[in-house]
Amino acid sequence: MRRRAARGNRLGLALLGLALLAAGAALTARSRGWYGGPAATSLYPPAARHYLHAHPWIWPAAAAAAIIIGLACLRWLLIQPRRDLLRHIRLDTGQGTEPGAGRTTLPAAALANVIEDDLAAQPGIRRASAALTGSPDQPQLWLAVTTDTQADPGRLLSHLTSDLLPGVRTSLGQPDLAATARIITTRRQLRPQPTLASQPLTRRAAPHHDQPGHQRASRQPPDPADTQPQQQETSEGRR
Amino acid sequence: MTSPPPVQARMPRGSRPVTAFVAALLATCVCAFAAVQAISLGLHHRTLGFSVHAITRLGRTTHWDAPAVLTAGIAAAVIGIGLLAAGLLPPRRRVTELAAADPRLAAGIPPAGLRRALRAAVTGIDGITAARLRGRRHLTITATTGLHDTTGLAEAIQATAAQRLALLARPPAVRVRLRREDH
Repeated sequence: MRRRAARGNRLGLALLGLALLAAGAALTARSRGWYGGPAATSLYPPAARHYLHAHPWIWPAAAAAAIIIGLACLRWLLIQPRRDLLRHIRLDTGQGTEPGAGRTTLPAAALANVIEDDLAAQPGIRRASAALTGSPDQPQLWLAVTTDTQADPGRLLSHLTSDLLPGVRTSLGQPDLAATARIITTRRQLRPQPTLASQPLTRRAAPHHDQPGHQRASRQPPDPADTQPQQQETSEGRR
Repeated sequence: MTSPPPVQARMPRGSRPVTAFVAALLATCVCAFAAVQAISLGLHHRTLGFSVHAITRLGRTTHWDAPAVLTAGIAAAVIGIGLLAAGLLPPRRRVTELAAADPRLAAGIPPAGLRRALRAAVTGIDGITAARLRGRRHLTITATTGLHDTTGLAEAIQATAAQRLALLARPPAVRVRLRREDH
């Protein structure tokens, strides 16, 4: 999502590191007397003072160089919080050369909202955020999904691959739409979801032994096939 | 002619935002300070509380072989090596990658979150009161139980963990240890 900032950071850090390394190595070598005369001389000898007096353009040149490098550093600083978000997505692939050919665009935020709503309706999902980056012709989808501790990330992954992404790709006419999903498990307690609760959620619903009527998981390992019909049912219900 | 199957997408690496922010901020401040001092030196003016004469006096009285100069040189070189490495070496991926069936979907979960989810799944098994996870490549689950008959419990934990870890692109080897609850 921050491709430009990532490239700028790599370049900026490498250049700054190289400059500091060169300056530090030169200072160390001069301090040890390896070049530039004896090390017991002062940093600002009279000869240097006379040279600077004889060449008054040096200070303005140094000031100009510092200002130019400083502005580059300021630009580097200002791109840090920026995200390469798309505002619109182009839906048609026409070149616009034919008479009457138009261009259809969709606000990226509208699509992101639909995706977020779809994800938030899934069991065990606390929060979801979606964003589109890249170019209007070739967008890329970024998802950040916060789940309950007991939610099964496998079910979420399955929903993404079998329901959500195919739907988005079909809607946009982008069969190669790439997506990145970051699944964050919250530390907070389970959100009560009696109707949509998944199998692992129901197992964890009653953590105390002494409460009557609670359900605990059996010693048998959970069967993925058990959860499949419920998931399909949820998907079907949404459609 | 069939096109080759798409390569599995991977989670992006970090962009070193904190290092870059600190470096950019310090570099901007240093450049601004240097520009102001260069202008003041050129105009022989006193600026920002720094006297030009004080700076030149410091330059005249300090020698190249002073310990402070050597220390500054070594410190600059070390910081430079660190920043160069940060710029050239690829940052770590901060998430554990999941194996998605869709090759164009890159999915990941922070390791801490995965451990929380795994611990919750294990403690959800009947008879397990607590669970502790250790290791990354070789994961050891130490589960605490109050049951006297622990037949099949380790296998149930193993199977639950295997089901959750099957999502990972590179699932770790799991070892289960049972610990009886102290009464």
